[in-house]
Amino acid sequence: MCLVLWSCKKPYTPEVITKDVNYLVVEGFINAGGDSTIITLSRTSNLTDTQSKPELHAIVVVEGDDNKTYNIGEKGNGKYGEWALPIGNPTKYRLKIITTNGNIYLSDFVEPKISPKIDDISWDIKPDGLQINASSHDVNNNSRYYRFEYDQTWQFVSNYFSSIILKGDKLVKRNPDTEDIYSCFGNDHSSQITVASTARLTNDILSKAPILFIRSNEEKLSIKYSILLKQYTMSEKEYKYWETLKKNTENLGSIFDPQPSFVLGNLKCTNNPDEKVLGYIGAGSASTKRIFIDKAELPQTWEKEELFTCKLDSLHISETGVIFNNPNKATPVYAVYGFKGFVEAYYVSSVFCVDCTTRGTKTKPNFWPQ
Amino acid sequence: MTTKKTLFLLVFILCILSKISAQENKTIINENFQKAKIDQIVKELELKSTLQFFYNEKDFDNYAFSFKAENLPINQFLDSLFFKTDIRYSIYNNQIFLTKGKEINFEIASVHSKDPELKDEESLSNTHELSGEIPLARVANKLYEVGQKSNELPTGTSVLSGFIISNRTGEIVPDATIFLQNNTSALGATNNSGYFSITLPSGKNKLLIKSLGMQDAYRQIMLYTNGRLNFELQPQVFTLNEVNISAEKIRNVKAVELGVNRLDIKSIKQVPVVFGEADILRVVLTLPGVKSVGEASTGFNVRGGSTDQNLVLLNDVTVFSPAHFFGFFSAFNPELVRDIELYKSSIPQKYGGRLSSVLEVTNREGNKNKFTGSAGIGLLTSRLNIEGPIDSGKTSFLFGGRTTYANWLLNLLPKEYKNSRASFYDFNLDISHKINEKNSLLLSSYFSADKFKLNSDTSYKYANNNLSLRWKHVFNEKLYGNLMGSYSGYNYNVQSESNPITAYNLFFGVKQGSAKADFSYVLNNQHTIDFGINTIYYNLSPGEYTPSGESSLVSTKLIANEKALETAIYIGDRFDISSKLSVNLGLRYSLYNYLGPNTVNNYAPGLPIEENNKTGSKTYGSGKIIRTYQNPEIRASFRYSIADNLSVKGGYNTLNQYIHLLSNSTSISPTDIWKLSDPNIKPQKGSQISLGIYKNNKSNTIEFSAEGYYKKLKDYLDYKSGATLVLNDHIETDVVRTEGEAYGAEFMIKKNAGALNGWVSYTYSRTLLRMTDASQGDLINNGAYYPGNADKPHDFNFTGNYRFTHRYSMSINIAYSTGRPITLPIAKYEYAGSIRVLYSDRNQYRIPDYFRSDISFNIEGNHKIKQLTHNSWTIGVYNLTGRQNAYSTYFTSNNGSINGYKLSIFATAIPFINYNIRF
Repeated sequence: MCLVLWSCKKPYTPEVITKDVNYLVVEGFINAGGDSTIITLSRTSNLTDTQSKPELHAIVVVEGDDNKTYNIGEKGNGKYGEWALPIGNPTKYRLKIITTNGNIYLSDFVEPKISPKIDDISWDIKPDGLQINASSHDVNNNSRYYRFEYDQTWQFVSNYFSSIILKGDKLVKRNPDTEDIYSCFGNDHSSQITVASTARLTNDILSKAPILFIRSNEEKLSIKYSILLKQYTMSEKEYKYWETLKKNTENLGSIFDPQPSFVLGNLKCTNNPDEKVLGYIGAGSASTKRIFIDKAELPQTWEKEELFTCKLDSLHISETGVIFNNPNKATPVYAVYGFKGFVEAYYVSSVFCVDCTTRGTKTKPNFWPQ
Repeated sequence: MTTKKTLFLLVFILCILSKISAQENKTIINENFQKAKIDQIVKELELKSTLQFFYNEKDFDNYAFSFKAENLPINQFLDSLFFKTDIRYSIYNNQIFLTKGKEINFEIASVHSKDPELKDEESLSNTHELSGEIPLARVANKLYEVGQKSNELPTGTSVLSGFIISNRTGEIVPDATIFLQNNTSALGATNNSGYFSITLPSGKNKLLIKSLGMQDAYRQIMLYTNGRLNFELQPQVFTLNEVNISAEKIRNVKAVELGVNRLDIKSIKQVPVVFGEADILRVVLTLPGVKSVGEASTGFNVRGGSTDQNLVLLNDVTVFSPAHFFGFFSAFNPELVRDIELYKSSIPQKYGGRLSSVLEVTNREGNKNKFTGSAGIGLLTSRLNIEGPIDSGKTSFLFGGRTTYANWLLNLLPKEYKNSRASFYDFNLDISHKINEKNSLLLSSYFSADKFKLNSDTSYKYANNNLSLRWKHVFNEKLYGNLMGSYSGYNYNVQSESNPITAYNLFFGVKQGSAKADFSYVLNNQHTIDFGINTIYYNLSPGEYTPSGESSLVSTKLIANEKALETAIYIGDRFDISSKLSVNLGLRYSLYNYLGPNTVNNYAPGLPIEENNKTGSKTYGSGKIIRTYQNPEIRASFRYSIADNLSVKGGYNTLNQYIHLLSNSTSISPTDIWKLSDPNIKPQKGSQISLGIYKNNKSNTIEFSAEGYYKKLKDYLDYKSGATLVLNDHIETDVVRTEGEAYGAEFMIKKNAGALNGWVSYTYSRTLLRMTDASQGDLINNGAYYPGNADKPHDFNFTGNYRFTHRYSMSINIAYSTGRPITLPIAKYEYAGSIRVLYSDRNQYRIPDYFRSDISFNIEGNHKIKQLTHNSWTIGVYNLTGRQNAYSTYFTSNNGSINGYKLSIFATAIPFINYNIRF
């Protein structure tokens, strides 16, 4: 897209950089608040690679400065987890990883930070969408640095209600209770880093920190929407890490932006200090809060924008082979009966316009109100 | 007119008569005078003969004659007596008329000169004043007398000094070169104040004065003793005649300095620029050795230095932010500028405090004779300039103002930019006053303000405020002085009010008060000595973060003001060892005091300067000297003339810089902050050695230069990854000191005359930095050399102007350079819910090469000298090929996929039109 006179943003692909980069990536959080501790280990991959590279069969241990250790078991696909470690203040903790090649990685000792509760998740209606904000405070003025993760869940329906279903080689009536593909729940985990700081305020009051923005025409807002916000607090050093990581990977591109750079976390390879390790291990507990927003609470003029161009095609009974051969292209929607009571034609559409399970789940989350 | 003619006629007749009569009067004289006055002599002669003298006593007041006459005929006696004076006599019978000599100077011509040019009726004009005013030499065909007259033949050498001024505007003419006729080596040149002091043989001399934009002028002088004489030159009527730039031309080969580029406003205006508005800094970028990190940045890098290492001076006062409007325009009003001078190598000893270069922008003086003005209308800015006399030719003013109306353009942008706003204005007011021949004052002021809002709720403002008063004083023929006091300030303000709870105001400011005294002393023909002292008092507000509005919870955060005093003394001698070899030896001693009140953090020795190694802090009281740095600096250069039009030059410089611009982005952005050296941040040091060869061809119309240099940098500041610079009261923990080297070769061919003129330059250069001191924290790139941000090895520029007729001309500008270094992603990994990129070591890759071509046509209105207004049009296209040069590249992770983008500015061919009017 070229702005009229000023500037122009164009895709840019430098000559393929094939560097043999294979650093360990450590992601996770030592939970000292009675919740599970999950550590994910992986390796960096080349920009052109399509597969992720989990780090398998490593030994992962949480060590306290009281010399107690807690093993974290392997859960597969690079995930290591343990339910509710019996740990907490004032002990400091660090993470130790021994990979299968014998390398030992250690994080710095970190002090568990207990997050204060989230006071409020508020939302503001803007002309073109919904701004969701979080407010918190710490009476002890200790938290100062906040990071948020969130899970979004929303109810939605597909474009067309399908009343027939393909079973084997037959098209039969769909059971609306057990075979419905019209109404689903979508969900999404935050993929952006969201941090906020009150370090420059007199009191540790986080007021309406922006969490995310939802455009008015998104499917998320079409029926009922819910967000579960997780709040972490951390040290200044960890905050700086997240902020730099965000700057480096999300924020670049305007005229005054700083240059990207390598972001150093708090892990080191003890037997090979030159090897870079990516990631930052913090400790503490998260606080959570959930809210719901109903379509009725939003401006009536807001309408969801169809994600796909949906149209119904009619297929004469003689052409129904398409349904059997390529059900994704021609998912049956309903049948047209002739005056003799026989099916004369089927209306079909693309699977994305008919089947909500292509981007959601039928399972109603247990927190969803009746 | 009539009286003049009558007088001429009378004198003419007298002259003829004197020729005849002189032979008829046979009176013989026997006299002996010692320092006798004219009335004494006349009395004596009238007593002893029948002669009768007629003369105006007042005319001869300051003559004293010593003469011994033995049996001399009266005419021979008088001839000898008045020999070498301008007294003429005419004998009619027994009556002798004594007249002030100029009127009949062909008499002296017939005796001492075979120059036929000396016969001219103009010679009748009476300009010799006895009031003590310094005479003004206006015409070629008159003999101007200087010094204490005597009838004794002057011998040896004398010093002639004075000013050279333009007769049309009354402005002084700098860089005018004075030659003895028929001698190619210059006697000297006027300095920036139009002042010269030359040593030449006493007696009668014919001088040739050459200056850019002025007609070559011949002046005849009779130099009795040291004395003063001002010269008035006629400007070239530029549209009807080619500008003679011989003086400028010779400078390439003859000046002792190297690495100096000088451009007058006329050449600047020929270069096509975006939106058609002459832009000084963009023209500077076409010079060899000068680069920019990108299109929209008027910060420039000289020989690999960073943008803050340039001392940018407007009328000798520091301009901290020389750019408007995100850097799209430079801060100097081209209608007011007389010329610019960029010192890349031989930085004169009177300047210091920056490592890379000095860019001197000098405004014209206002027209002392009449009111004139100009106005221009462009796509984005309009300007109005007025100048004229305030009183009887002694005082003049020059005013210029510019403003912008760019918001309409922003409204054309896509919707996401609709909240953007940008505007700026600037104005200059200069008043010059000539107290008398020896003293003049110049009051100069510059104010600018910028305001913009880029698609967000945050608005930015910044402003420059400069004020200076200069007193020029001529002590005597040999000593010239310049005293100046100035104030220069820069501040910016960022404001965000979208959320009343977090609404804030962020203020940053730098103020600088400066006083200096510069002197120039012409010891003799071989030595010119410059010396002086200057001192700068800095007062910085490194950040004031305050709540905006009543409901704001923002707590005020003030970073303590920083104060320092930078003082320097210098002395330099330009020594012309022979006509071939000249050297300039300069020494500067700079003393820097970081002053209280302030609190300075202490860090554990030997450990990296990081927050967790902080051992405490120490608070100092007001006025206490916290830390002193002092450094001697050397400024040396030589010029050896191999032939008249061929010379080699060399130079060695050392420099120190005590104030630094901290910027974490590649270009200058308005929110960059200035920081003073303190106990934790050492001054930056640089040294440079350079060597060049210079040749002029085709009677100085083609100028060639080749220069090579090697530079060493020490304690050059670079940043840790993700450094925080704003509102940081321990900036030392976010910066690292690096050492660097820069080297390169610069070639330039410049054609100054003819229908086709312009320049071509090519530069090969490298700038490499490295961090070797592990005690400062993680070594950037493991301590290996890495390219600096301005490292663009190949750089080519063509700037040409072709004049079809006097009214129509075309300019073309072509620029090519290697892309600047960038840090690229080398791998990806999954983290925090998204695929993220891992960046390479610093500056290991380059953005695509840069290429741009511009064209413009200038159409002048008719050239009748007498008309109410003169107007001109400029039309053209910027970035003719529409190449989308990468300004920056970046990578974002969007829904898990990594996309690379390049951002281009002025990424399409931009047509422009400009209308100018002069009145």
